[in-house]
Amino acid sequence: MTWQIAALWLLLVVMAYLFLTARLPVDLTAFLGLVVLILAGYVGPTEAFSGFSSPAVITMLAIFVISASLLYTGVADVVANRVYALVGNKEIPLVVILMLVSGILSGFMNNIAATAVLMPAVAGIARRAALSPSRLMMPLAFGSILGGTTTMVGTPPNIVAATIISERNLAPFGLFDFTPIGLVLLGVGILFMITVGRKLLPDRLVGPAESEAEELTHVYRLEERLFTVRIPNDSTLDNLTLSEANLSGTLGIQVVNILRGSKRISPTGGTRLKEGDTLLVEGRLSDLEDLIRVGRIEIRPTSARLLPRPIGGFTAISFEVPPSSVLADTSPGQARFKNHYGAVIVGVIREGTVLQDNLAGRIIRAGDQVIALGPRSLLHKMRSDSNFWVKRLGLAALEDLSDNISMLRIPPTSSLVGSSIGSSRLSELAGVTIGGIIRDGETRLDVGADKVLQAGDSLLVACDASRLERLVRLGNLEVHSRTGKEELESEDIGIVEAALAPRSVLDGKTPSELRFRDRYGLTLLAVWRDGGSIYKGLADLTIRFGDALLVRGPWERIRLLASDPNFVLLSPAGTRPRRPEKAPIALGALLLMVAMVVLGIQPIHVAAFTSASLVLLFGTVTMEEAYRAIEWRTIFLVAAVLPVGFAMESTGAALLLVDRVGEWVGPLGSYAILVALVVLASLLSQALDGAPAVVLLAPVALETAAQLGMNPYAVMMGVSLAASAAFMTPFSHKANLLVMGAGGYRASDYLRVGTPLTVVVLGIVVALVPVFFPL
Amino acid sequence: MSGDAVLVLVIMLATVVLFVTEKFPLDMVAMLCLGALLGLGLVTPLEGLAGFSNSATVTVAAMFVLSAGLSHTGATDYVGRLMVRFGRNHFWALVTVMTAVTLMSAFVNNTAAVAVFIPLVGVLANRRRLSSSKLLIPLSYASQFGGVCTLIGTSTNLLVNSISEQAGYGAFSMFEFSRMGLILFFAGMLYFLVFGKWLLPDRDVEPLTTFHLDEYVTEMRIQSDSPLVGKTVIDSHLGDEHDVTVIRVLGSGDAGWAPLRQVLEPDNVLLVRGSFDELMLLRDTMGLELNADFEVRDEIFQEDDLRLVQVLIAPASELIGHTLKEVDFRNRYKALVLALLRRGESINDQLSSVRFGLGDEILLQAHEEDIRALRRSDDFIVLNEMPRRIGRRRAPLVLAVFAVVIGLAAFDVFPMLVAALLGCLALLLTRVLTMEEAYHAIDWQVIFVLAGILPLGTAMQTSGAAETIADWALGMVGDMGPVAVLAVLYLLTSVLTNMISNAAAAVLLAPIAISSAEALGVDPRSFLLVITFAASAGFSTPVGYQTNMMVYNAGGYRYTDFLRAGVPLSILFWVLSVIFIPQLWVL
Repeated sequence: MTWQIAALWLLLVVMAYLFLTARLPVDLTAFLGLVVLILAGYVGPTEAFSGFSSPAVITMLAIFVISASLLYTGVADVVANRVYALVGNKEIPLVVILMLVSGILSGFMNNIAATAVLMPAVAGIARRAALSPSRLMMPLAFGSILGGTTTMVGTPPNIVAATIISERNLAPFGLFDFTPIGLVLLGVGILFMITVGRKLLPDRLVGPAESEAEELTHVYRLEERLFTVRIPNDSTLDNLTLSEANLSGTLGIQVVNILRGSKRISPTGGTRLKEGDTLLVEGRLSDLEDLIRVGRIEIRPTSARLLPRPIGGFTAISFEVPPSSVLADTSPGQARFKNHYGAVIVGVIREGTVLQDNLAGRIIRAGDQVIALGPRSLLHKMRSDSNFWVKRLGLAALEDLSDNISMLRIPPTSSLVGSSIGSSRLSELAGVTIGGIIRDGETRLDVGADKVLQAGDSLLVACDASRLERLVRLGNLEVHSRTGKEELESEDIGIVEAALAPRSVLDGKTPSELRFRDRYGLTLLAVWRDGGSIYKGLADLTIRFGDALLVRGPWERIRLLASDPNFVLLSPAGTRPRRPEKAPIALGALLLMVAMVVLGIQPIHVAAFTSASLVLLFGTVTMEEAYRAIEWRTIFLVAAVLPVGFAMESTGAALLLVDRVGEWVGPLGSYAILVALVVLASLLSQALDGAPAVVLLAPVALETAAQLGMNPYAVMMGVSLAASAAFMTPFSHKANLLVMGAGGYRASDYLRVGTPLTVVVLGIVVALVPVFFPL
Repeated sequence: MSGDAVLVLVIMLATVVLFVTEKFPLDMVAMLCLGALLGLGLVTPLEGLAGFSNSATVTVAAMFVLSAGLSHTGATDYVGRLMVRFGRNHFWALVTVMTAVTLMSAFVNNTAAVAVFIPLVGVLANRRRLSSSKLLIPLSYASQFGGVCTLIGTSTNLLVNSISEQAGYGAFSMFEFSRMGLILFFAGMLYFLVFGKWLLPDRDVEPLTTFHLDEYVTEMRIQSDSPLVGKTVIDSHLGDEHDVTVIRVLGSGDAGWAPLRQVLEPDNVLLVRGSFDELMLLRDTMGLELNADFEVRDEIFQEDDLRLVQVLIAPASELIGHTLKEVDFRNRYKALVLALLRRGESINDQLSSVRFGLGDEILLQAHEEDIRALRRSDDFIVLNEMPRRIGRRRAPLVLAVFAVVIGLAAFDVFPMLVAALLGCLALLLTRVLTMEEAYHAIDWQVIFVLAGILPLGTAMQTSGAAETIADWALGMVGDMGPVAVLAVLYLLTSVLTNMISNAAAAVLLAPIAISSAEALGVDPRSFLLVITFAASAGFSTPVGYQTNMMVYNAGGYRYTDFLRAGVPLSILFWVLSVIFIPQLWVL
């Protein structure tokens, strides 16, 4: 073994480790590997990127585009709807039909797209047949994964295997060479799902439901979290807009609906509240009760001069913000002011008016005067910091706030006594900044969230006293704990579930970042993740691919959501193909590609590329939709991993491995080698995508075949089929992840159902491949 | 001339025609061209698809990612702020704007640099009471000057570099272009400092007059017999059926702005926007009475924290190619579109079905907080506003990465491609960018145009078409010596680049340049350089260069403004290039 080979193996081991532990995104790992190969001189820079123009990558690109055209012209919908009309409500025939349809579709489409296009219909069927979506969603995903194996273009591993074969100057795989085994796999998969799989699939439905909305509220356990609040006649909320009232920020409740007289108003941030309104809200009753607790506090305006001397080296500062300051044009929260300078901002004076609401989130402008409290030593340092023009240092700085300091005296009878500042949620509830505590005649400015309140304490808060009074008076809201479900859905308002589409831009964002309600006109009620629903802190919850979102709003907005490429609506309502009139072109282009390959006129990559050009030329998909439809991650993974396979061969690393493996397994016969390769491929593809797994194993597999005189087609087919069998985790195939939220699955569900299926599929691959391609 | 050569020429002409007519998107034309070459067997599948893995294509993609890293950390904004501080009068404003953008676009792609500077120029102009129309054309041109200062300044340089490499004439070094680039930069700056007064218009962009709002906004009173009485604004379908926007309902209790659910009553006065014909139709059919004395004033639209803002459609905007209706603009951005300005003309008819394009300017009415959201969005460039400040703490890291990339390439430690890729990896590993952000940062249109058009160059060479054209052209000017040929080549490139994408122009002319140089027995590298410089001198028309499109509306320019400022400059650059290139790179 030369050092070159040793180094390459080391690289492979590190890459495998990174792939399996997912410490870095897999595509980043692949690129790292590529760069190391270039730097170490294994491949030249030009060779290194030849992966991007390899037939495998071009074919995958083209197939993504063609499958997008089938999607946008509604060919897939038509296929789906026809078949569903034929079957009844029985689970077993449904699963059979479902898997067949998804399998056949994904034979010519990308698996993920085939799954996504069927999801809304499946959700509808589940409802109609009173089945839990969890009974159908996983069969759907597995059906399309298995269906992908039925043709050479059905799934990236097959494409990669076929193109690698043809690069060896061997006769290429035919388009339908995979079909016999693929069909058997699909058939067995169906059999498995209706026998064993049926027993293993979870059931998340609790009882029959009359309507979609009722079922969804039930599943998401929303009933316990819905109640109504009436705004009394003298309420301070009167005439505030919803975003001004900030009920979700202060009370953690969401307004779902507003009843005003006989009118129902679907709320937006700009909707004004009126006295006498009844709000249907979603949240926790106890939060409101917290607020009522706060209501017993006494409020007194005060002034800095009246304050006792602070202890503990804390003091106040007043400074102006110069234009070049880190604080200018950003909010203290974003600038992490508290972390960096140890001081709490209690007021901002802009053009003579004192601003005190929501200070952490307010954008500070150059020229603003800021008053903050903090440790003396740190504040002294700010004097020499060019980010601040310090005006006053010392408690007198608080005088700038004039009347805007208040003291909240906590009466001995208050239920707040004994709870910490953090757990009282005073500052969140009232939207004020707590600057200090006056206790035993001393001012303590070092208040943390864990400081426990005592009877007789006075809290020093920076806040407009009238605002505080208004908020405290919120306590007179009338709360009713239970609501009729009819208020949730009406003629023009609906509740639906939606999953994130593949490559959705929402992935990794929070609803508040997205301004979800304003943008989509819908209220996010809950998120289903990992087998349970999440209601709390939705505004700042990072949405992930695989979540299902429960949303409520006007039907017109729901229909808009259905046409938004970022979502897959889990309801048959309102999904409409964009260009049904161009369906013949999409089908024609597909047939043309098949014909060109079957008749041997053009190799697969040229045929696929030509068909993709045609669907673009005729406008069945726009360029933009085409770019969106391409799974860049898969493309980049394959392109980046190809040179690794290349290096394995050129250095002889593959040969070395083959020799070693041959020594151990060789005596057991070529059959054992096939088994070993199949198992290896399956393991790799659970962590990595199937296609790059094939790329990595191909040199080893082909070298083995050459050494031992085995049939190269047999080994490549074994490897590529095994690489497609990714059922064991939600992350092993994107189709699995796509249905995770919609079916309400946990990761363990995939392990339970997927493991036996994987074993069965691998068994069949090992048994059948030698039949069709004798070893 | 062989049959293949004829076919290649036909495809080349068809491609140029399709590029010029803009009937199809650029990337589709490029793909069609590639499809034709493959289908007719003029290139082998391997050659045909090699465009995707060409070092230029991959480097350009990597540079997009690096640029995104720079703008994500706000490092670019910092430069802009300095600029606002130092540009105290017209002279200094011009000097700082041009220097700053040249410096930035030498390393970042030109449209990204201009996108950062457009709003800053607006702020600068406002603060110093200058006219922004005096600064924006220089801004756009200077980004092109900067583009030719380094190898990575613009994608055309990388493209020509890879063609030279493949033809066996070696790669260009990082700063090979710089001497000539700097000569052109100083010449360009001097040109504007001396002649700018006369060449550039002095135009204040007044929203109401520029957008011709007075012709499209009016007040209408609802008469008691109107069919609209008792309906909400939404139910009246004025928007869908008549393309009329109700901006405000006056004379009813809580008249909101952009009211959708307001129930209309007799004697309500609607402030509406729509084309004259539609408004007349409404008057006749809907029982509305036109207010003859109505006069459009700024204050009509501004109340509380409602403001009018002008925004440009940004280079990577998701809106490009979509209509207002498709994107559900009003709900999505919480802003009301009042008018749209394209290529200097206001478009008011059928506003909701106009497809947005790069550089279109729209006049919006929105609340302060929604304007902030617009500033955060990548879809728009909000004019006359300081851009948001992003956390600057990682900027030193990104700048260091940039410096290392440039250093590695400049000292030939690694080829440009490898250096750029290392830079990307550094940004990804330090999590300045996520993988998704990196994919998103790549402008796939540019990549696919490059990948699709490169094989045309290959085909021109292998089929002999390039040689044929070169022979024919040399037959006419060859006798006058290489300098004359060089002059003609520059002229050809700059004409073509004003009509079609500059990458395409470079790819088409590079094989011809190489063949000519070989026939004349001179160094083809100098000829390729001429193409690079000429391809990045799209001054004369607004469509000549993407950055021109971007400043077109923002500066309130007319088509002729570009001719007046650009043609003399183009001639100046032509003369300078013909004089200096033979001296700097001995023929």
